[in-house]
Amino acid sequence: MDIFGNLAIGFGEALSLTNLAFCLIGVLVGTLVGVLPGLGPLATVAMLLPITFTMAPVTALIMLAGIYYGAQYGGSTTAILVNLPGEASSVVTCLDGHQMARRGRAGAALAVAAVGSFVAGTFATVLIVAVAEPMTELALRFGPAEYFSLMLFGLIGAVVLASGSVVNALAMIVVGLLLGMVGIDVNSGAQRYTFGIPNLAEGISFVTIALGLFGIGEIIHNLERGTDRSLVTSRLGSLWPTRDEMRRSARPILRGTAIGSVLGVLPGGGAVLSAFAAYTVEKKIAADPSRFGQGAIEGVAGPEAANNAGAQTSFIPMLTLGIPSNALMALMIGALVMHGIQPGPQVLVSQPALFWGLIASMWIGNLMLLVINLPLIGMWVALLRVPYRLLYTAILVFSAIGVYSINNSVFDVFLTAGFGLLGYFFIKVGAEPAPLLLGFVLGPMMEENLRRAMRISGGDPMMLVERPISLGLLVASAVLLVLVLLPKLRRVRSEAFREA
Amino acid sequence: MTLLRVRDPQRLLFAGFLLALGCCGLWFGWKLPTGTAVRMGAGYLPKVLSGILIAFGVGLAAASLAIDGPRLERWAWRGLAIVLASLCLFGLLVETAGLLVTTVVVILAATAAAPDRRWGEAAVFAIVMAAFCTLVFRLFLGLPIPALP
Repeated sequence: MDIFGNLAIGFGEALSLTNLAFCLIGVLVGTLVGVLPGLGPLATVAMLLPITFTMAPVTALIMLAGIYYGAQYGGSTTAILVNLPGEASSVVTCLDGHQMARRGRAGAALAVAAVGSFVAGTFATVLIVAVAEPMTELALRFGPAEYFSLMLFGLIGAVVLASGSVVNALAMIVVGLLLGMVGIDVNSGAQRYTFGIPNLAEGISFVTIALGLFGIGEIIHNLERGTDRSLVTSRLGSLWPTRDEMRRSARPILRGTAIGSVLGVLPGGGAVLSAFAAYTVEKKIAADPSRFGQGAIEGVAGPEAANNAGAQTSFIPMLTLGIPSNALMALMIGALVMHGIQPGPQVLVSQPALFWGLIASMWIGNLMLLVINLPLIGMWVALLRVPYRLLYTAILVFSAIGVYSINNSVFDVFLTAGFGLLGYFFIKVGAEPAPLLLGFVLGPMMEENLRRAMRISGGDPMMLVERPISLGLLVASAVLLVLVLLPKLRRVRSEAFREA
Repeated sequence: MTLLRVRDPQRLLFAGFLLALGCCGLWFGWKLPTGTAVRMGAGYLPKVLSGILIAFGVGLAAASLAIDGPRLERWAWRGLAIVLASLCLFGLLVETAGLLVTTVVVILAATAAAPDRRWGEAAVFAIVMAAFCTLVFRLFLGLPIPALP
């Protein structure tokens, strides 16, 4: 099928009234959580996932995806106006964006961030369209051995590119894998770690894990350290960048788009890594690096384009291979499964309307964000004045309603409280929870493929290294692991994650 | 001269968690059939993973005695207890008291965790939220949660 035919299907689907409406709701909610510090897209998607049950799968995915990339737009608003990252991916936008705001150029910074994000979003959408079919065709030739190795590569890559201790992250993956074993074993029907509780027979509901670790644990942590947000500036200045500002930001936007598009596809990549990398690159190649941190518009344009491009291209491995590259994509996989769609390369063939509809909706969503975002700035700023003491109680209630309504199960609410305790514990001992969620989602799939591969090969583990694609992936995982454990690279890596 | 000194309490605590989880995994998964590599039983991977966790736990515990790390921060027990308790309160109330009452109660209970709490404001907010949640989740989205007792 040709690309234009596919896009016609996609736009036909995405332009239906229902899908347009939920795309708008998604990007608005996304901008909202992006603006509000202390509430991220991950917890929001987990919270809203249960209420998408009544929708068609494509509508649900369109809305949930809108939350993710909408949050990238919203995060920059808070970073520029308040000098607080509304989102982890806009940490670097604070550096120069807020300095611009102090000099009365807040409007220009916001406009450049929005235009940069839109350019990046458009390019990322085109890229997804272009690579979707070849990637899927490749993936359809994968056997169980290749799949197992690919998932292993994904998990290792996620560890290497994530921030924090590598050993802790590896341990967290194993914790996630073990939690994924809970429930009835599909092959033998044996009950594993269910303790006779019927609610656990189908496994731990992953919304309880995601909300507990990322939502509840975070609330408790925010409460103790306090959230200060008194720095709201009311003066926006002109929304139009000057000719000089436009000239300066054009190339950083293109570079940021390229960096984000590549890094988004990699395991462990996505918005956060892309923004950091783009800022580092802009600073490195600038004629006068000392301007950075003083309000250089390049330091806003590059990272803002990159985080949006990265957010969108991270959908590529999720949609074509069925493999999540970051924790949010793990949630999207969960959403597909809950709607009865087995993630993987067959989605493109069996659900073309869903596949292309989601992609087309991303471009429409980006357009909506560009148009509605700037006029609504005043509203977002007003929302920033909502104190955290009210906000967290609302998050708590929404979380509880969300978790409860998955299975109408009070047990899940208690389980979420348990994972909230665990999430707080992880924050206190300095262990990132994202690898756990990846391991949890990939665990059952990896087990299934490993078992199948072993049965085909007659128990010979050499099969994993005898097939060339599988071998290549295993070697790549090993190389990544060795590299990241080398002392020299460790230094570079920790520098890359430090705030410039 | 001290022979053993905890240099990285955070890491030691994490190691303890991994050890405990790994041991639980082995203990409760012991009776599951292991099978062979060709035909893996339900217990094969759980046991392997539990073993890996124990290995990680031992390794990290050893490292915590050798390498210096950040000190353990204080735990905010009060906030922790109140937030978790309010969440459980939702679970206990929602099926009997209905969404309206539950929302008000949970928001008021959770407010106790805020260092800068204002009860009057919280009461108004609780009523607004109760109305909003009932309207959106019950009437608009049609979730099967009873609105009233």
